[in-house]
Amino acid sequence: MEDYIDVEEMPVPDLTYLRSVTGDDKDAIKEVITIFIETAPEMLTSLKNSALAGNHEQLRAITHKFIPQLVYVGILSVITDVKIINSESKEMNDLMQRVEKIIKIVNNSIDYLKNII
Amino acid sequence: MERILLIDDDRLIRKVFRMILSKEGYDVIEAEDGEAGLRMVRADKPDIVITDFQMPGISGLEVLSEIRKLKINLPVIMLTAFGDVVLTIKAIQLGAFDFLEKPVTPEQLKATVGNAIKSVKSSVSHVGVVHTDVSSQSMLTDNILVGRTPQMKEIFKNIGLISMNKVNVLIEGETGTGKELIARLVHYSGITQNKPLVVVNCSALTESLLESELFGHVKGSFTGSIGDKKGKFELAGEGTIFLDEISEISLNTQVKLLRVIQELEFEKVGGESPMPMKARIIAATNRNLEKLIEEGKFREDLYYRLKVFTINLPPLRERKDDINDLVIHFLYKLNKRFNRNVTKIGEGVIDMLQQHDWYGNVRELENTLLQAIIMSKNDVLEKDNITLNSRIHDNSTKDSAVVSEFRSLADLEKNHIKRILDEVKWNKLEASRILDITRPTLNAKIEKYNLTE
Repeated sequence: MEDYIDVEEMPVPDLTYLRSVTGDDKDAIKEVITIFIETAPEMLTSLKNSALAGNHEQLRAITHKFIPQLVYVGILSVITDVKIINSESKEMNDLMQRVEKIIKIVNNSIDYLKNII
Repeated sequence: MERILLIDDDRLIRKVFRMILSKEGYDVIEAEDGEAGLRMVRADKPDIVITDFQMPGISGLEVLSEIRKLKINLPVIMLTAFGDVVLTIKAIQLGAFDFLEKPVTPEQLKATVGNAIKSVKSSVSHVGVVHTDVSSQSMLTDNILVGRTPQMKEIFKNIGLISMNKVNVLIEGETGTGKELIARLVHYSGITQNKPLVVVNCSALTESLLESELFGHVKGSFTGSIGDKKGKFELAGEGTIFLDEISEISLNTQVKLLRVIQELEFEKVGGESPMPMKARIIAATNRNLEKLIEEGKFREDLYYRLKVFTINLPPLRERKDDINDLVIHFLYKLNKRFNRNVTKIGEGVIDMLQQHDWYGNVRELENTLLQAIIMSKNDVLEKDNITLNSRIHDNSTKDSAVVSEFRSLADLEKNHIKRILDEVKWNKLEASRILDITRPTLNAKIEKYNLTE
């Protein structure tokens, strides 16, 4: 729940976890990142659409799936926001702001990940 | 070689889990939904199933329920979402072997699978009670408990077990730890969920009033009893009677309560015919009952009748890792209740809250946040708006509390890193994840502060 950050200040994904799980196997890391790059855009679209529609059940389901994916590819700076949406979306006045922040950071991270595989 | 069936519609999760488990020498097979998973349970005879809760088509709970109907000893490990207490309890009720909260670390996954393998080898059965009525779910989610530290997870698992059996429960914990919430969770998540829950605060009433409250009275039984009155035991029916602050009842009332538990019947004050007692008793105390027994203030026989199952709620200072989640939960809850919009947490706030010892526990945290929200002039919860109760718990903490006010930032950082490392048994990956720093940074700090295992 920290202040919203500028795109220029966005942290890059931290691949420490993935390196550890794969034993630093480059091919395995590439496979996981590729799956994330393929599936994340659909996830972000669903996140935004569900938020716009006020579909809290759907938001809960999407964020449930999204949290571990973000951890595995090291996009840690949005984890708290996704968790908040997972547990508190019904009560949030800043839901869309947070969703936009998540989309911005994840898209930025996808660009970064595309460049390293 | 043991075969593990992974059921999850998330390709990435299946990929990561397969990597971790294959490295351990397990034969890993995958299904992308519940239907396919159940077919593979029958056809491929796995030794363990790991399934997600939320999947398109049939859910993880239904998968678990169907596996239990096959009457085979097949441990099922459920993957739950962050803080999903209700589903966790339901999974345990249905006979899940264990649950893992996403994101799962390799260490957690390997340890849980290892335990499941051991249980298969020792032929421990996991056939649970099939129970899928979720009619009282809103009662649960409205009173949700926040906690994902190991102590709290163990409590949720125990609630899953005891809520399906009408045994008496004793909840022990300091003031403000959430004993009544636990009692409600036990009541509404199991076989009593559609029956009454009656709450009695034993300290709020005098001896004679308490007896009248508990057992009821007949007209004319004492001065002022102008009509018959039903007691709490009668009102609880086949549900639950929650006796809060049980340590405060007199020895006379203790004798009467003991008789009710032993005979499973009670008499109204001034009444002559006994009435059946069918309710489950959940008692709670913030005092050490064993010490009260030694002092002759509490009956030992009653104590053992009440503590058929005991839940020990840890004080907040022993589960400080839950503070971040609790702050988020309370901010949104309090914003809604008081029409405020404090949705951001300022820098250093969580650290500051984690440094405090919270002798008033979760209730104190909630009250502190309420005060801070009211004081906030914008949408950020700032340190300046937070007033921590400076009550000193005892003499031994007084000195350290005073000293801590003047400790350097480096000193605080050193102690915090050491504490986290010790908590996770020097698993640096886990520690760096909790501290939200990279492993090289953690290594540098370990060297800088000369920390040793």
